[in-house]
Amino acid sequence: MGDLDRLNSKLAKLKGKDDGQIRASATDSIVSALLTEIEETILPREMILTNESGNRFVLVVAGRRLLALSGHGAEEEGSEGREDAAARIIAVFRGPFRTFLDNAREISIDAARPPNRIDPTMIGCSVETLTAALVGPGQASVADPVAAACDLAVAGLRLVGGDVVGRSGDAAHLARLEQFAGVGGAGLGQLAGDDTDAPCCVFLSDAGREDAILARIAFRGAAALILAPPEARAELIALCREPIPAAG
Amino acid sequence: MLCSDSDLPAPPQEALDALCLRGARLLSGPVWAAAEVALAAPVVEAVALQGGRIEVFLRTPAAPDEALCGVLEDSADLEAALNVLWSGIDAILPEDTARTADATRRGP
Repeated sequence: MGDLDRLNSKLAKLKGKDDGQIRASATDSIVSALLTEIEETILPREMILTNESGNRFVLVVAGRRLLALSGHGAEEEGSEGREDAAARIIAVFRGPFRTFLDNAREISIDAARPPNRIDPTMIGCSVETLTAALVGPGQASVADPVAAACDLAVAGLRLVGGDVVGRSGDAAHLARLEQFAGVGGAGLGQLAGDDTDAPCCVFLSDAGREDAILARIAFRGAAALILAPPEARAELIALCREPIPAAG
Repeated sequence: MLCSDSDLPAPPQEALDALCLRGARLLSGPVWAAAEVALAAPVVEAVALQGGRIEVFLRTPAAPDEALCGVLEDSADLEAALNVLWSGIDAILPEDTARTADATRRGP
C-alpha cells in the first residue's frame, strides 16, 4: 500500500460513514495526517482533497513546505491585506479549508505532479510554522500541555520528578491537592504513564462531576496535578491530542 | 472478568490483566481513597488517555465489586461514550445486583 493509499484509508476511516461509532476531532486528525504528508514530501506534488459533493481544495507541496492552498473561499480569505505568503496560507488553512474539512462527510485525496512548473520564488509555509499557527493565539502553551493544564485549573501543582516545583490557584483547593499529592500522587503517577514522549492524562471524578475533577497531565518528565472545573475536561483532553512539536 | 468485542482482534491476556489492574487501582485502594478526600465526593469514574487510546473505568455504588471498562480510540467523543456506558452499566450487571441497584434507586 502506497503513502497515498494509506492516507486515503485514514481519511475514509476518519470521515467515513461510521454510523455505529462515536467520533469527534476528525478534522484535527485529518489536519495532523496532512501535515505529516507535507513534512514527508520533497518533490513537487499537487494534493487534491475532494468531498462527497465534489468540492475540492488543492494543496501544492514541495520541499516539505505548503506552497499554495486554493479552494472555495480561499481567494477572499487569503488576499485581504496579507502580503506575506505564509500568512495567506495560514489564513486559508484556518478559515475556509478548516470549514471544508469540518463540513465534509467524506474526504478523499489524490496526488500528482503539478501541471505547471513551480515558481522557485514561491516559499509558502513550513509545516513548523503552520503547526504553530494552527495552535492559535491563547493556546501557545500547548507546546507545554503541563503549563496549559495548570492554566485551566482551579488549582494546580506542577511536578518534576515527583517534586512540587510550582503552585497556582486558590488556597482551599491547593490544600486539598497537596493532601492528595502526599497520599496518592505517586500512585496516580504510576498509573498515568509517564514513559512516553506524548502527553498523557488521567481523570478521576464523581458521578455527576458537579464540583471539580481531579486530573494529572504528564509530558516529558513534568506533570500537572490539578483540580479543574468539569467542563474543562474536553480542553484538557484536547491538550493531549494536539500534535506536539518535536523536542530540541 | 473482562470480555471484548469478538469482531476485534483479541488483546493478549497480559494486556487485559494490566487493564484490569489499572482499573482496580484507579477505583479502589489508596489513590482512589485520597481522590475521594480531594474531591469530597465518591469517585466512580476514571478516564486515562495515553498511547493513542482512551481507557474508561466506571463503578456504580450499587455494585461496588463490579466495574465497567471501555477502551476507545483517542478520536472518540468521550462525553458521548460516557453517556452510553453509564446508561448501559445496569444492563450488564448480574440480575441480583441490578435488582439491588434498582431498589437502592427507589429507596426503602
